[in-house]
Amino acid sequence: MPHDHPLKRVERELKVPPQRRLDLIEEVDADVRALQVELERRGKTPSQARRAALRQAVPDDQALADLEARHAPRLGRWAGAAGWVDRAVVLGVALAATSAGFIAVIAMYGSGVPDVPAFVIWPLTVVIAALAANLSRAVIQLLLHGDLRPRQRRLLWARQAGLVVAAVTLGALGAAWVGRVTFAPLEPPMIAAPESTVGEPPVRESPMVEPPRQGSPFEQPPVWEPPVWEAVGRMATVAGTGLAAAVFGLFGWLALTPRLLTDEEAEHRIARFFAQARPHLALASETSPDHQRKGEP
Amino acid sequence: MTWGRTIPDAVLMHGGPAAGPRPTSQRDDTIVQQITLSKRINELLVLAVLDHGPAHGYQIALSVEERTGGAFSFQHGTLYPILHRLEAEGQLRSQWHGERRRRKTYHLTPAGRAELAAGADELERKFRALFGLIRGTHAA
Repeated sequence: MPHDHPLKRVERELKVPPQRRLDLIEEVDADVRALQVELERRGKTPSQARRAALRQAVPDDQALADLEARHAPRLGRWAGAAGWVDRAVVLGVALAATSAGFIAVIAMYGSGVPDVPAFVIWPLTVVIAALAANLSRAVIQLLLHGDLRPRQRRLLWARQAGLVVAAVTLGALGAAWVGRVTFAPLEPPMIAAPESTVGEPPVRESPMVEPPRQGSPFEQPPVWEPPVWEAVGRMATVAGTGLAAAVFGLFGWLALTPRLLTDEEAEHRIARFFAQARPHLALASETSPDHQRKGEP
Repeated sequence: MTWGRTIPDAVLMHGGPAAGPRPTSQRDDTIVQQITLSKRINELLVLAVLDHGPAHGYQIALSVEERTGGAFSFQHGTLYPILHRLEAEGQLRSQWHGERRRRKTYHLTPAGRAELAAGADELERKFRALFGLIRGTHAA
């Protein structure tokens, strides 16, 4: 059965920025090794010395809580002291999702997109809210703990990427739907007109464009606005909403990237620390030398 | 830290009556900073060891145990929060050595030295008062 490194628990449970975690485990590890050597020099067996060194240097739960309180970001310390860490995460995420969803609905309905079917608008709203919730979870985690573990980071990024793709897809779907609804009625008369009425202008049956009215000679003839521009405008609004959501999701994550890259480097060094410590552990964690000295099996 | 079971729970006023005039406003009076006696002792033990020269964490722990005849010892990593707190307060300075296997050395700063002197006086007054009460030789 593989032995877990004694500092693995410290690394796992300490919720502080990765660089702090790395510093602490390196500091404790160096002290454990040096203390073990010193205790061996004073006559203890290697395993006795190892156990004593670990007992003395490896932080227990209380020490971890003290270290966490010392090294967590200021906001996290404040929230922790008030007992609001979990509530702050839930409230922050809910607030971000609600605000983003509300803004998306207002933006879409306010810009004349109600022709777009509900099966596009509401999923798009939900996707935008989910993008904001996902991003805010990462931000709040970093603000409170200064720590976004690799597994959680990968999960949040995968979700963010999926939501970005969903936003673009829904935007495109909505735009295609608007195009289909608008242009489909125009096609038959446009094609049929030259054959049925020779020498006369084609009859416009589109509900979106009024035919030129016969009125007073002083009245300015209405400017003929092709329906295509109005339709294209609606299509662009829907597609743009999806695209804007995607850009928001991508750029929001991009804003976190420098911090995440720094953390990633520290995480790599932590992983390397434990990988290199394995052979040492295999030698140090056994209890056999004591038993062998005493003639025990 | 290993020490008696009753003393660490005792809470003393930081800079209490013996240390000087009490805060005047009611608000100050209610939010007077309190620290546990054990925490104060721990800090002073660390500062006292480092007053003799820079040391690694394990050396501080060993030195405290040896020089107090085993009366005090840091167990279960309780030393690190103290070291990091004192460092954040500017009473200690740390330095990393080595490339592949890094080690951290702590030094006492002038602020730490001043804190050690002030803390020793404060603790001496409090313990004198404590033992005066316990042994019934209340100092005038």
